Amino acid sequence: MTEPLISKKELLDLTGISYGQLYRWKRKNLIPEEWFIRKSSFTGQETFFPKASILSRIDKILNMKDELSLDALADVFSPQLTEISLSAGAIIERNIVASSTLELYLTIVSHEGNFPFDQMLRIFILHKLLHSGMISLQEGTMIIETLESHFFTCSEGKYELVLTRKMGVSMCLLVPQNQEIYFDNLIKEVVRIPFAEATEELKLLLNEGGREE
Amino acid sequence: MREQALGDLRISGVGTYPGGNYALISIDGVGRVNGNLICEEIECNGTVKLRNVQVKNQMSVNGSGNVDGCLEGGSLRVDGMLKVRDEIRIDHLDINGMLTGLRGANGEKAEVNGSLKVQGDMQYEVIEVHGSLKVSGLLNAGTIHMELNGGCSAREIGVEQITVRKRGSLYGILGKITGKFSYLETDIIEGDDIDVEFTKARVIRGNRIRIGAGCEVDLVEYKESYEADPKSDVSRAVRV
Repeated sequence: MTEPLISKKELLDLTGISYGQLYRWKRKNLIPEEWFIRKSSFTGQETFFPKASILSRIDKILNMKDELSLDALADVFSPQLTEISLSAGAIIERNIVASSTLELYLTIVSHEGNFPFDQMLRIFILHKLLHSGMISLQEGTMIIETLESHFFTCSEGKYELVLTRKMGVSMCLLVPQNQEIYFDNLIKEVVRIPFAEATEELKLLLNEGGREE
Repeated sequence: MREQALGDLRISGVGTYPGGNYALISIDGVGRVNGNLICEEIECNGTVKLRNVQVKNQMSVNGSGNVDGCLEGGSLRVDGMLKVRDEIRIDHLDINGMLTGLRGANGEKAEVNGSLKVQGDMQYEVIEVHGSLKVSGLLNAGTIHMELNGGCSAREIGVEQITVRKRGSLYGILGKITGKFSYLETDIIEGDDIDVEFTKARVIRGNRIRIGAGCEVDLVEYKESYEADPKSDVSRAVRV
């Protein structure tokens, strides 16, 4: 990981939380073990965190802890897929993805009945990409085909989707999270979505009851 | 899932059994189970050797036991000796004898009257120690209450609230001898409310800190309040 680090002390100063809170959230699995990075500094061993990740996580916890219990929050942040399934109607009604995205998905994959969480996650990723305006419909089709055939082999939450283009020809890859990949100079990385991040976002939407647009 | 009443497994004397799914397991004598066990309750008297164990309710060990894998369950009471080679995930720990965990421990409440040794990190909401507790990694808890009666140590302690006390010498001369070695030794304590006696630490950081008799601390960093006993040795205290 190449993300800049922040020391524990700076983190507490910046966010105003106490040691007790930080350790409680760690016990409740709101902050993953891997983010506690021990390093030696001039005052001895100190703990550091990946700066951007921990700040956004703490911000989310502070914003949501009044509405959700710590255990419910832990579930939101865990990369585990949940059991929730929704019908096509409910997905559109709750504004989780746009109806155009769902229609596109259904032209590629035929499906009837409720959508389980993992499938919603794939549609949600497609929705995010299409709405970001960074990909074309054809690329969307390619991404869904890739996700459909390989999602379960890499559904442990530690993978991410990468889309690249070289001279107008696009290619998508599923790679382990936080790995550096080096391309030849003509290849441009267009977008990168970690599954864990999308999972977290989707779980939040499902908890809140819909996307506001 | 099949609905089927589970059978019991009873080993008396000497026996080796495969693993499986049982309601009650009781082992008296020398027992060995070679496969993974899932059960409601397990009682071990004598010498036992087990693989991964999942207990829904209670596990009790009176003799000596060895778990060659993970131990997971509702509650564990050790009156003898137990060694667990992998992770311990037990909601309620009640240790009157000795428990050793080689890959961390997690749960809700731990009461240690005997001795608990954990290699790796230990995370519990409530920890009460009247005996000896040794953690090679981070000791992370909601509240810790320690009555020093044997040596306690942890690489790091992170808590909401910790109190450490030295118990009066109840055991006469023996108490005075063991009392000499009864310290809490750690590198760092970080928490909201810290109230310690007989603690050797490099750094103590927190909101409200009280350093009692017999402490040796290099650096105290406090936010709201700080108090130190004249019989303690604090090199430097700063408000941050």
